[in-house]
Amino acid sequence: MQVLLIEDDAALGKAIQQGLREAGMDCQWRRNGVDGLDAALAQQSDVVVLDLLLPDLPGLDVLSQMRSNGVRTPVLVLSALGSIDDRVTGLESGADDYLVKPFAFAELLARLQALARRGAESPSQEYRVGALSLDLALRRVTRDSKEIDLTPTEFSLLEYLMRHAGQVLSRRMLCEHLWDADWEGVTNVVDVHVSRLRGKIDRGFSPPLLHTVRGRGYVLRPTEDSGADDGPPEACGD
Amino acid sequence: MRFRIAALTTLAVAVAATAALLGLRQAFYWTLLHEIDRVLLEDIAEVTLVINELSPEGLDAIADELTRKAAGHRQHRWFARLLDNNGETVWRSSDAEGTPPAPQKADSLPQTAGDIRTLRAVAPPNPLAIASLQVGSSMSLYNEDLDLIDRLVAGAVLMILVVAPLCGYWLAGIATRDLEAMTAKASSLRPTQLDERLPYRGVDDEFDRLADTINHLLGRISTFVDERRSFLADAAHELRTPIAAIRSSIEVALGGERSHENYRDLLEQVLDESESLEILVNQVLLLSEAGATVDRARPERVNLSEVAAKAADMFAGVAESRDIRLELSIAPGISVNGIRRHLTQVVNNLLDNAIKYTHDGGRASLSLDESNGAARLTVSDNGAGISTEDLPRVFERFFRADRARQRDDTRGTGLGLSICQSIVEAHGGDITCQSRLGEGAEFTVLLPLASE
Repeated sequence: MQVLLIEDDAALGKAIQQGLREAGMDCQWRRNGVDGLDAALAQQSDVVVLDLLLPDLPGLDVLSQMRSNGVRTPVLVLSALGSIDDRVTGLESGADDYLVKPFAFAELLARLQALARRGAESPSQEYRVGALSLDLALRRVTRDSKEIDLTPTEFSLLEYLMRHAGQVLSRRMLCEHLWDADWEGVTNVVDVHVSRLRGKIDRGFSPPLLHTVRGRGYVLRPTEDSGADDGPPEACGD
Repeated sequence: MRFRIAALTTLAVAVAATAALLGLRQAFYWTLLHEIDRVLLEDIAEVTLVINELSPEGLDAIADELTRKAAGHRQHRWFARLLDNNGETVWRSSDAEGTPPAPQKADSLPQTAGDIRTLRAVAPPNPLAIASLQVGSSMSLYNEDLDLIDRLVAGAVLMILVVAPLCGYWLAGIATRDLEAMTAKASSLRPTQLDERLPYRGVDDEFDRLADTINHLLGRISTFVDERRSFLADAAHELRTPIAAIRSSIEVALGGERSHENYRDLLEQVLDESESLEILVNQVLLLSEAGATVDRARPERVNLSEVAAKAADMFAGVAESRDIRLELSIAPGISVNGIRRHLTQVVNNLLDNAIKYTHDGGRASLSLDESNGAARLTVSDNGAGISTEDLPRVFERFFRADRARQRDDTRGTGLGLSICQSIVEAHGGDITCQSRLGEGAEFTVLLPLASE
């Protein structure tokens, strides 16, 4: 996966570049808006990480020039500005996702993977991971042909995990998806729902499908199919 | 301003005084004229009497008598004239030479010709064919009086035109002196010395009220600045703890050769510490943004019932895992105007608090209904509660009631309730707390309903 990083801060840029490379991605780093826009217009990357506060050309201008030139590459906006106006403006200007500094690197990684796969993903009515299947129309979940009864929240959680099967999803992403809330409190509201879902889809079945990736989030995948770039999954029982 | 007041005063005084003096002069003129006419009427009566008494003795007797009278009033150039039926002069006193002819009609009103005032009247029946009589006298003496008055009036007006501006300027000086003092004082105020106040003289006039208004404003600004300042200081202070932890973890890591696992543990510790730093910074940012953005940030219609239901669903798992009964009573379709993200934060914070402070196996409740035209959100628990002395401080920034009661893993930043308060107040609402130690707490949020 090819990532174009447009970020003027040397320390953060270096850390992100190194992190992405170690995660198996190819990262091209541009330190100002003009160079960044040139690189973006070349359309060689799968996803763009764009800082909003650039010394020469404001990030939002880079974004709007990309879009007006017909470049549809997914853009994740990175900003130190956390206020709603900036978030709304960013997304309205054609950004696909928004991340406020400081952020967890795992969060960035998870969101980049989600963005890069968004294009390839085709809307589906049925998802299948191993012997687990989910039928969106019938709102039915089965594993090994046994029907599993889920609450609406659990169903929504499983649907999101299955849609992004094999990809680590952060707690924050799950929280945004489930409750439309960027909950930052200390109380971990996601874990309980995940562990309850795990109890229903994994307990009494083999192999386990829903894995906890320490410090990063959760991933749904058959054990034997653990992707190298996601690090060693640590299966967690209750 | 002083010049303007002086000019306006002068104009007002000059117009009023000139009008009054001109009026006075005119009144005086009419009084004089009236006096002349009264004397002329008396003269008519006197001449009539003379005709009555002396007509039997002949015209000469009358002429003698009238000539004598005319001589007595020479300085007034008094004259008398007797006329026959055709208006021809029968006799006239010598002073009547060159006087104007008698008015066409007898019994007319007094008339003025040149400086002579004359009056003609019907003569009493007499054997001398005197049909009517005319008397007259010069108005020059009265005119002299009038001239004198005119000069006095002109002098007075002139004096007023000289004195009024000076007085006006002086009075305006008195009126604006306090204002200038106030201006001087106000312009010497500095943002760093907001405890200074404009002088209040205690007479409750316009200047005192202005000073009072400005002083109140200064008071509010000063409180606001103080709050900001202490918030900044508190925030910086709170940031020290996680920064110190990060720093010491790194120093320990760099302090000597250690095993791979040991490095990993220390780095994970640093990660945990930076996470709490991140949460704190984000909350400080949210707090500073919460109070100010409702006006700017395009408020939308937010279905509070949905927000509450989502919050309940979000915390349902946590509550259940700790065996806390979560009681819900959410009326559908209650909407308010505001910022969804912020309102969500309020409900989440309150519910998080309720669950956090409730013992395992306890009870927490979330209810939303409509009360007196407002959306009323109530979040309560039967947990540890808040002591009476802590109760007034729960919304203070960085205030943490009795840390001992908090489970270690849930210790917050002490900003949650401040954020709730800022958000609620920015939405034109109100948040209150009722609690007794050991009996749980109840938070009530009132928000104006969205108009249909």
